[in-house]
Amino acid sequence: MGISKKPLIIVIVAIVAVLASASMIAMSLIQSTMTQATTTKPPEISGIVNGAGATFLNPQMQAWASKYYELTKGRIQVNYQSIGSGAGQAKFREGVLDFAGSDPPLKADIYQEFKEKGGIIQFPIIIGTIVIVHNLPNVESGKLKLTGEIVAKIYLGEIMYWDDPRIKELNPELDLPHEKIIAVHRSDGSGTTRVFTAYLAKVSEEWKNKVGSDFTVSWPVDQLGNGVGGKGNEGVAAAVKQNPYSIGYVETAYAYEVGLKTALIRNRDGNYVLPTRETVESAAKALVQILPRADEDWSNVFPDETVDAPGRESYPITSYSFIILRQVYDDPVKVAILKEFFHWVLTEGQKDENVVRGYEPLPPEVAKIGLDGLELLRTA
Amino acid sequence: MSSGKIFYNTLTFLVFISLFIVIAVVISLSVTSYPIFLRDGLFFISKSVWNPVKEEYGILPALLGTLITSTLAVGLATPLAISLAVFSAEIVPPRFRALINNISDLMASLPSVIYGLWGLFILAPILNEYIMIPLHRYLGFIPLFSTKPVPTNLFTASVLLAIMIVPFASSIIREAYSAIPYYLKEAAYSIGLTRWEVIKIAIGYVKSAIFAGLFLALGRAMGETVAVAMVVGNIFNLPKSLFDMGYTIPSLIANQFPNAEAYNYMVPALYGGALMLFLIGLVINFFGLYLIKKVMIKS
Amino acid sequence: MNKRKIIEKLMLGVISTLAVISAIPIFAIMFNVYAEGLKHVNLSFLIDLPPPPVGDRVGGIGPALVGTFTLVSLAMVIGGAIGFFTGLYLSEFSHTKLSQYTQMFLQIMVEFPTIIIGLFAYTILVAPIKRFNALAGGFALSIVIIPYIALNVREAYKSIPYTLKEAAFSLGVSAPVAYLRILLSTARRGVLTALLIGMAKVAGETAPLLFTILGTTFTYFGGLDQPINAIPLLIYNFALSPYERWHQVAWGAAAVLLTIILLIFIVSRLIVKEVKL
Repeated sequence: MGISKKPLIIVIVAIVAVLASASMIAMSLIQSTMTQATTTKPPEISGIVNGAGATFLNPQMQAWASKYYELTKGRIQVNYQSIGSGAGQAKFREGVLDFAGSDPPLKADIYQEFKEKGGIIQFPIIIGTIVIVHNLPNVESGKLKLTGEIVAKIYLGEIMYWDDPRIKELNPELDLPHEKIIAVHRSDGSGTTRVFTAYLAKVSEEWKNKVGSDFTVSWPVDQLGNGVGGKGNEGVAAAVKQNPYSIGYVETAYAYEVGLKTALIRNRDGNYVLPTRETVESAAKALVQILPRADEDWSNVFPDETVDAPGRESYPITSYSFIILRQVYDDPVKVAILKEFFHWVLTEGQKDENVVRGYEPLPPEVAKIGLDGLELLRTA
Repeated sequence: MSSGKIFYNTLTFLVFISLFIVIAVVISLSVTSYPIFLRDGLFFISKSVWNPVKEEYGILPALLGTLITSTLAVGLATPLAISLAVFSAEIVPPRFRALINNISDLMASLPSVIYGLWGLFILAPILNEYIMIPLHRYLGFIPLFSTKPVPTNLFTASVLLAIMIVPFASSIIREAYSAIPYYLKEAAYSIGLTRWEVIKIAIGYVKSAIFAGLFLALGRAMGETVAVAMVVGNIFNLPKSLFDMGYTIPSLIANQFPNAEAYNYMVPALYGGALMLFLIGLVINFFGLYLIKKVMIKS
Repeated sequence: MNKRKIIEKLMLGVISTLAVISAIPIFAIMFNVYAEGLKHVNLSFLIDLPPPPVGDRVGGIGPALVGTFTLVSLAMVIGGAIGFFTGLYLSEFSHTKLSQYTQMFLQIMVEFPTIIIGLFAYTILVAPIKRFNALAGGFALSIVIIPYIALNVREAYKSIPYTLKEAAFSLGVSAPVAYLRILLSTARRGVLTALLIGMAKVAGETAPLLFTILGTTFTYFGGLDQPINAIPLLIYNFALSPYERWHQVAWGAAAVLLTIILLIFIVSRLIVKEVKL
């Protein structure tokens, strides 16, 4: 046995040293590029703001943040991370975030709490849509017609087979099989489920009484053994793909990127629609009158009043993503950055070239809610 | 004070830090979950309901799911981990040994989301097609296989967990195995034993390491979060067969935590679930210690 | 005699088959990761900022790479040290009550969903300073790493034959010398494996980071009291999105992570030679 004590210690020291020096080198490299960026534009404000929240909003926020980072040559860094709407709101409330992104607005009691502590503003930043998808082998995408009531009955477990007369009646031209419907839903708490169940509750009294609307609900269809839970949109998309004769609901981007078949859904005026720029815009415009101001409580309006919007063209399951800000910040630099960035997002950011596939821009009337709200931002 | 004394005291101090951290985590679990136990008492663990709309939480299905998947995973992983360790230390030609060990240990570093995605898109369909559907078709009369399988369920989660924990168990066993003094093996060979017989003796010699490895693997299986959440099916129902979709406590936490803080009792309920994991761990450990003692005395 | 030979062949066959079976998924996943990932990896991929989901910029994983180096170093320094000495104690003073309780608690700690440990770190290190920060992430990873290292180190020291331990102490050296020089050099392979396994484990952890480091898009390193990114976090966010560009970056990041860790493994194992007893 040779007593060579050193190698192990040397290795450990070496590993730590390599790791540390690698990060140092990278750091200094970056620091130099950053100082470059700031020295070229000396008089303007520069800095970082940290936000987090809704997962749904994340890709669009990254696109905006990257674009604005380039436009300002690194002067303004908006750091947004997806941790979930509920967590985003909670961490924002605990004061560790500068802003929160959220699918639903603040609940009434939390809104009140903020109002008493210096005020809050919350405004829509982008529109998302939820689309019904299915895996019927013989039916093409965009052909199956459904109503909200039928979808509710499927998830209630009352309609169990595809050849149920109530589905056949809407689709006389389709050859629907006598197969059990597997109802796929989100297993994780999500804003998507909140909006989807708000829609079901609005069109079906029975759903409203038996199930209700929330981030997660207790799915009646699960108790019959015909439900499948998927974690996240990608989990639902995978489950619909892997299970023939299934039905599900996902954010529209996932339906198209994964290649799922979509179903038409009947809107309030009796037309069968898919989410498109026109149908989403129609729904948004129909709602402008009922939307509150940025400093008001949104909890009783969205999403329970905004789903199933009137209008011949309107798509019924649209969802807003919200940005939540305090009215008063300690740091004047943060106020300036937040104002500047979100002003850009609500104007330039809504143009086609800055909107990511799967999202729809706000009509100017709705964007104005946020623009007016930003005026309330101030320093302590 | 002698250097030995100082050394011993430093060691003891560091051990206390380890112990203190675990206890601090357990205390934070207890404090945070207290409201749900105060409100529901033991119904919290004996009911099957997850209904945030009415703030009703009873985690029995997730508890059962955790026990089923982790037990099955360790059952599947035990022969694999021992074989892999013995294979690497005894059978494989020495120049490939390092490669096998490195790759096996490397598996610990794959982010569990990668295991999850691989499990969801590749493992689950294969298991469904070639194992679960045939099992259901021919042995469906056995309650264990009675549910018509879908790709993501408790069984898929168990297999994925087994794959994930093999490297952990195997590395402990392997290191102990290769530390067996050479003269012991030589002595065994010199009395004319075959390689298999020597391996048997050697396995007996590292029994404690095997237990340690499997304990680590069991804990790892019970605590795995993201990967399981992607393949376990995530249906809140009491499981009746292996092919039912289900939940585990960690996958419940992974699914529900991002929006849990929007409710009054969901965070306590999720922490309560984690606290139950701790209590199960305590029971298993006492049982395990008892078992080890028995085995050790016998040999 | 013949029967014994047949049993030998049979059992060696069974062991080899099982070993190969357990290695198949390992190779399958690695193959997937490299097949999907390597084509996106080049120097600028290692340095650049992550890209937006659509657009021309290919982007890279610069901040996440720096972050993972920082966090793993922190975890190895804090958790590695505590874990190593705890493991040594558990092996050499196994008769004490402290040892027995600690071992039991550490074994249970492996069961805690790591997100819980992240939340614990949030309470202690994020909430009080009102900012997500790198140190909280390093602290959470340290906690995660301790049981893995301690339990592995314990086994490494326990596998040293008793006669050798007696011999070491009969040399008349002090306890630190005996444990940290003579016996460590005997158990060095096992100890090294313990450290490597622990390092690998935390290098791939996502859950403890979700509520500690937050993540960054444009900042590589802003100080230990500022948010930071990490490769597993980036993979988690990008892999679960619908966008092809982000999927590519996620695969590329996984390939980079595996390669770095594989390199550390190989190099450190080449330096620390096996002990033949």
